[in-house]
Amino acid sequence: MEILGTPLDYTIMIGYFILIVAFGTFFARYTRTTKEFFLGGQRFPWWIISFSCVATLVGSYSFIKYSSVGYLYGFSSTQSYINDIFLLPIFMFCWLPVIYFSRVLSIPEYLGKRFDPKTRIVGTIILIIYLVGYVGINLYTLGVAFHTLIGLPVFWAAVAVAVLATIYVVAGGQTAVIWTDLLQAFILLIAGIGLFVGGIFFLRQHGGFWNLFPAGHKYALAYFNKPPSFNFVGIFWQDAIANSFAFWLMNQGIMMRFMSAKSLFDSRKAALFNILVLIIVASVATSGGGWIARALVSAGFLPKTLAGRDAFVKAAYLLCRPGVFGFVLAALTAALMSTVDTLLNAASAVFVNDVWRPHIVKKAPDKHYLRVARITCIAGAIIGIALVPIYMKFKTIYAAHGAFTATITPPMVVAIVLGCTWKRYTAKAAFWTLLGGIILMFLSIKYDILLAPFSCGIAHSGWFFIRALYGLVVSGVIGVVVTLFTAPPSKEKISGLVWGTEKEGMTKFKGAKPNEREGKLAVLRIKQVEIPGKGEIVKVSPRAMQLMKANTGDLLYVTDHRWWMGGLHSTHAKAGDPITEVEDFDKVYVPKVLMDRGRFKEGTKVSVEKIF
Amino acid sequence: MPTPTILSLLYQYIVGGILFLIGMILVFKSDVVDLRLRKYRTQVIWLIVGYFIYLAIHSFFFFVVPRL
Repeated sequence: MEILGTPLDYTIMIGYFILIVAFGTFFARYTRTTKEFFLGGQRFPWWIISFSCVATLVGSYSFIKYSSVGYLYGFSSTQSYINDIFLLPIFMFCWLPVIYFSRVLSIPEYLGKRFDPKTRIVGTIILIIYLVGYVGINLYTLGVAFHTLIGLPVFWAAVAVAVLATIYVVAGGQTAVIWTDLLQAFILLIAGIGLFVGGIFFLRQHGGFWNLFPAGHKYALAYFNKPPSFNFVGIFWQDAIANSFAFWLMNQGIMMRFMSAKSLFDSRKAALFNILVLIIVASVATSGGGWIARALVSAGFLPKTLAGRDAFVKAAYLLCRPGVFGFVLAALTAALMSTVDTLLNAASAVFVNDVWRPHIVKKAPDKHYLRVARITCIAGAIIGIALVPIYMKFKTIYAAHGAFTATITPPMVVAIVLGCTWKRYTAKAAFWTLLGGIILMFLSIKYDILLAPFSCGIAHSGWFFIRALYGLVVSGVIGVVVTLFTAPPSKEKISGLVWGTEKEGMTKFKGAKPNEREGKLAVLRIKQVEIPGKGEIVKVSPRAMQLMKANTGDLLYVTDHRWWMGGLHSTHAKAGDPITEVEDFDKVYVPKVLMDRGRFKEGTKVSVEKIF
Repeated sequence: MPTPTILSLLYQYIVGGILFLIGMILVFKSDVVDLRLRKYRTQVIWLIVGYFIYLAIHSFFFFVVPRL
């Protein structure tokens, strides 16, 4: 086996490990409650959420997989990424308001509130198997990649990365996950785009990328239903619809990420920027190595027998000088760690929120649940590591988790989409959508003739692509039919939990009627003043209230004026009666409890914004 | 690998477009989206523009790029 890389490359990679763990554990000081551990205290602006999501989206396998597809089929490798626009209205305006205002911590908790405890249990079981198995898969794929690249044993490579990710997740929770993912997003985008651009420059003296890249590879969409291994319609239903909906709506980690935003407006903005800008950049970053490899083959720098799975690594090794290749290895690791850290935090949230708190220790201080959350992260990592040798030994188990994911995705997607968009959709219908959908999906694996009506002309060997369409249709039919034969839920039951009741959710969230008049930011200085018996209230001058168009009782967000602090020093509070002391009109009065929560210092310059 | 036809492009933006349209109808009929407010209006406009940006990218890579 050829071992790639030089001692300098390994030094850079180890340096990167140390940097990321030190950076992540720094945020331990911002994690004192379960709300901070799971949702980062809901304090982050849109740009942090948006960039950190890219790192979660790009998994450890993405560079290898999409470069392989790009090498074999050209620009149409981007099809799997550039298609999320279709679900964006439902995500931004139906799903996000529902989860944000209902204050749920997990997908199963939403299923429990919207439907019934039975559906919540089914959701919990499905999600825990999915999340923990997925941690194992990510560790396994990274182990395999590093074994191929630098000869490290698969298991020990996985252990090393799992331990590093667990250290900072346990210490800093969601805040550490978000900030390390922000850093890792930059690293993996720079490495991917850098490789593509570097390759173009390299090929300028050897005929040029454009001339060397085959004409048939220059289409961004594949042929409709051929070949069976890569065709447009199969990828459309599997990736654009089923997997995209799954990523944005049933991914516990993504849900927690968007709930960590300082406001619903910022959550929406993060989603919009991510899908309109960052996903397009990420698709080039992950596929670019494969495109360059194809041109390098045409120019004679790589052998014509080059396999797709080797395209990224061989192109990177050929083009990168010692040291730069180490940076590419760091980017591969970044892609893995940023997915694993999110999964560990998400699995912990589901376990604490849907198993421990409701069934094992019901009423305990928050510190108890925080300790359980941290222990669960460690346990999740240990189980993930334990799965690696099992995946290595029994490839069928690895394939089984893939089949399990493909099987549960369409029914879960249908249950969540109908749950958040259709008031009439009932608890029984949701339960049978999940159970019936999963049973019918398993049946389609055993009797694939069931997929024939949905094949869209794809040859039999490619029918696995179309299983997502089959699953969406059968689960949808079950959901609609059972709903029509069962009594609709009461208005009180679904209040704030479904499209059309968001206003009620907003009112419950605030505890009063929302004030949506558009105001401006007020820039003020902190003054610590006790406001007796008033709870979590801050006071500003009448002029600032007028500038923000705020009323007493409105929800405000106070943050350090330096934008690059990314909301680390911030807090939410209610607006109290305006300040009457004229000499303090440039101040905001903040009680000690909020000074501590926001990590403010006396005299700090802050921006005060009305949320609603 | 066969050369892609326009069917892929039409399928993506008609079938995907129907889904997008359903979503937009829900947005316009939502009880919290007040299009008189700039914060909602801007995001809804970017949503619609986004659909056409995606359509433009795929059309460009279908009709123009392969012929360059």
